[in-house]
Amino acid sequence: MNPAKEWRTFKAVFLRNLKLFTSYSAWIVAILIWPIPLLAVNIYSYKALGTDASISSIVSREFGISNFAGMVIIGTIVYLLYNRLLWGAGISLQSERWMGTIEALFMTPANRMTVLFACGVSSLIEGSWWIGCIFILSWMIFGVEPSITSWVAIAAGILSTMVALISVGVFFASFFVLTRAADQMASALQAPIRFFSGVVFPISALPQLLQFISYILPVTYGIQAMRKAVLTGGDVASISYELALLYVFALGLTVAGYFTLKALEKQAKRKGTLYMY
Amino acid sequence: MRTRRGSPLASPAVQVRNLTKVFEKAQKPQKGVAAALRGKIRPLKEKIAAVDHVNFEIREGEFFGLLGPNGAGKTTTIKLLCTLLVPDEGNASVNGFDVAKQAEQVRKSLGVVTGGERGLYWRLTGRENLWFFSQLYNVPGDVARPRIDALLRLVELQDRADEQVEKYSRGMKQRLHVIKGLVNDPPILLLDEPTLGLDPSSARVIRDFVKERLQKEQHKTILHTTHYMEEADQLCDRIAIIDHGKIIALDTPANLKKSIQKLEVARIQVTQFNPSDQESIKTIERVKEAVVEYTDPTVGAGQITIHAENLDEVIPRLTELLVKGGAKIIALQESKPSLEDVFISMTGRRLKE
Amino acid sequence: MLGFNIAVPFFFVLSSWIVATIIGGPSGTSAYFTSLTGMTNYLAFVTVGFAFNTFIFSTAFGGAHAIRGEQEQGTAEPVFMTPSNKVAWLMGMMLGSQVFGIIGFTIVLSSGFLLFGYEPQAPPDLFTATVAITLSILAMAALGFVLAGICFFAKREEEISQVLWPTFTFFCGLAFPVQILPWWGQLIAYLIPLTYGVDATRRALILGLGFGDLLTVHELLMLLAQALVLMPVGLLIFYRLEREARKTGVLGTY
Repeated sequence: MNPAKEWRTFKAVFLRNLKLFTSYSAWIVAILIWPIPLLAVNIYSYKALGTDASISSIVSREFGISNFAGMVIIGTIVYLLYNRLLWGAGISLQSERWMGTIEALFMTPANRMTVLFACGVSSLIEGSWWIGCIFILSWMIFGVEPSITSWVAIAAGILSTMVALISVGVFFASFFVLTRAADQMASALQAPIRFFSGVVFPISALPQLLQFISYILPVTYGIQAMRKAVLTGGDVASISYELALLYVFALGLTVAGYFTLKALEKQAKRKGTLYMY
Repeated sequence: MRTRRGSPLASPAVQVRNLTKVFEKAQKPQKGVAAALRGKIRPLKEKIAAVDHVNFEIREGEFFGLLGPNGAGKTTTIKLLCTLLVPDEGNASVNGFDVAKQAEQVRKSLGVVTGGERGLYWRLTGRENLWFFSQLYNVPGDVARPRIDALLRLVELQDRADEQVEKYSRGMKQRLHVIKGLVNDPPILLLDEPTLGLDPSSARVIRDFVKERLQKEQHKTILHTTHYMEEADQLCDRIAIIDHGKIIALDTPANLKKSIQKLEVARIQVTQFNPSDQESIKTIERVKEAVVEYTDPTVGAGQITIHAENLDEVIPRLTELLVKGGAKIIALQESKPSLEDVFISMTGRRLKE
Repeated sequence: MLGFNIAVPFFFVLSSWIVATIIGGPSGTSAYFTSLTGMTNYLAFVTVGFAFNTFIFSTAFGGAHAIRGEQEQGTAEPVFMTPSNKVAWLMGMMLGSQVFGIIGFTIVLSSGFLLFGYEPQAPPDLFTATVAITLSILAMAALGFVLAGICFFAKREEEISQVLWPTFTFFCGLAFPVQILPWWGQLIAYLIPLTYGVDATRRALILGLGFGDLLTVHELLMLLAQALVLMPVGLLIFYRLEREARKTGVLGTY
């Protein structure tokens, strides 16, 4: 592996993605607007069932979280980051097919995994700055008081979550080489992930049998870590389990993504379906 | 130019041995509800050899042509060599590297020029497209920038380099495709129908550039696919004629034409030609091949191309047959064989059919 | 299409079921909710709302999806060169994708009934529900034409639907009663035809209220009025945007 070569590839793909992103105004408008109603829907789903005070009291009693809005905000923010990765990095190879550039890309000696990681990082950066703003704004709008004792824990939680989510995007991108319906698969995955990873409620609210599915999703641990760090005064030690698992997922999904891409690229080249969309 | 193990470019630059690529194609559904249902559950497939045990070598610095009609296997051959497809049988090497086992080294040695509307990022400028691909080929920035400027000037795109590609004309996009294939200064170039769809003037610019600059000045090894026989004749040192996945002839243009020189070629312009006479013409002694190309089928107007061993004997019998059939002879011309004639003599049909 | 038409509404209903059991206990409802809506079963409320969601995707986004697909495949210009009526072509695309809408609606509604035990409070008035859905589709088709026209320029149908879907979900009472929105939210809600369509369908399917109920009739009339007004407006905007796309040469670009 040549670090200079990988850096060149990474930088080129990253800058290309940012340029393409800013060339479609619809993308920018969507990034700015979309998180707001989604977050509002998640919070108002609770508000339909009682007053803020009564709901917070129940949530506090059941889950030890003082503010239900804070719980939903954190879940939604992590989910929004996951979504950025899914639609950014996850369908990056499918996007190359649509643009007719996948063959031109695969003819170069560029490392495919470097390309995908660059897509992941650029997707994250395209959305995360605004998602961060929404995070802060919603805190003010819904009157949530965070209970933070360790900013190191917060930083560690954010970093670990992002690393894990990038590898999720890379894995999906590798897997989606085989299908011509990556966008449909991505959209079909959004809702189940939202449900099982506890975006709107802690996963302990799910029936025991369904919780097994939650535990195999990296998004679950990102949400849990951030809820602990922001809402219940958790420090690094208290979220160390979640952090460790996030890195395990990151490694595992990266390795799985590498082998998946290799195998599926070979199959696509055998069948001559690489460019088809 | 360096290749593997630091040695100068080894010859042959490209070597292809028994290269084969087979695709599965769904068979036409048979009639009937039961057959249609069976077809949906377990579709019947047939195997088509797009490239069928092909053999050739390209020497260093050679301009090698792959000439054939649409669907002959030219693009599939290119894709096999540039590692976009995996061969089912046989092997190929580019610059000494095996295309299946040493794909990354092959990619570093190649520049590939495709064409058409795809293969470029429309929302990026021409310069940004070139920069992007130069980085994917690991060209250092201080080398890439002046090289990109020089390439843009070579094809006269320097004034439009900073506009989005979606605003380019087809000729401009094609020129950009050509220099995109050069951004890594490869020793070997694969050109897949680079003049397809271009007007004659733009096509001539590309041809001159490729022949004069790339081969003669820069001594690049070039594999050029085309179905334009004049282009192949003009540009190539050697040509392989490919049809239905197989190479049916391989030699210099002059030798290919000489190979059918014992055959003479006559072209007869006719009207009121009776189509049933076409087979009768082939039965005339010493006639090897006869092809009719209609300009107006409603009045039987067209051109008959005859390949025969001795036109002096054949022409009187031919004219007698035509007149008996009611045809009117407008003009008759004997000519030297072209590559088109070579193709006709080998396959019994025109290159453009 | 399957993702949005089935997976999204199904899992949103599931999610609402969990929220309802957290707040309302095993019964999954609350006096607060009943006081707002007159309905005893929150899950029934949400199931009908998200089942309705399938028609949004088919109609409102079907046209933009069609335009985007043609642009990506390079067939937008050949299609628009033909003498065919483009509105008819778009309507065909939108109505064709109603098949997915109907399938999704049926699946989500059935799963609510079978899996989550939602039961209507009275025998459903299927005729009124069908009328409400049909009028909603017509009214949403107007939006569909506008979005199709916008797609000539925006090029990104996925982003358009990504923004509008949660917006509709928030304002139109798919997931919760419109009454809990702030005053400005309710104002916006009552300008969107979907709000009336969803509520009328709910009242028909859950409360069994039809043309004999004043509020239902009011909602259907509002829906009809909006459909009649919005349809020509939507068509006009589509034609204007199409002409602009031809003028600026972006019809086929992507």
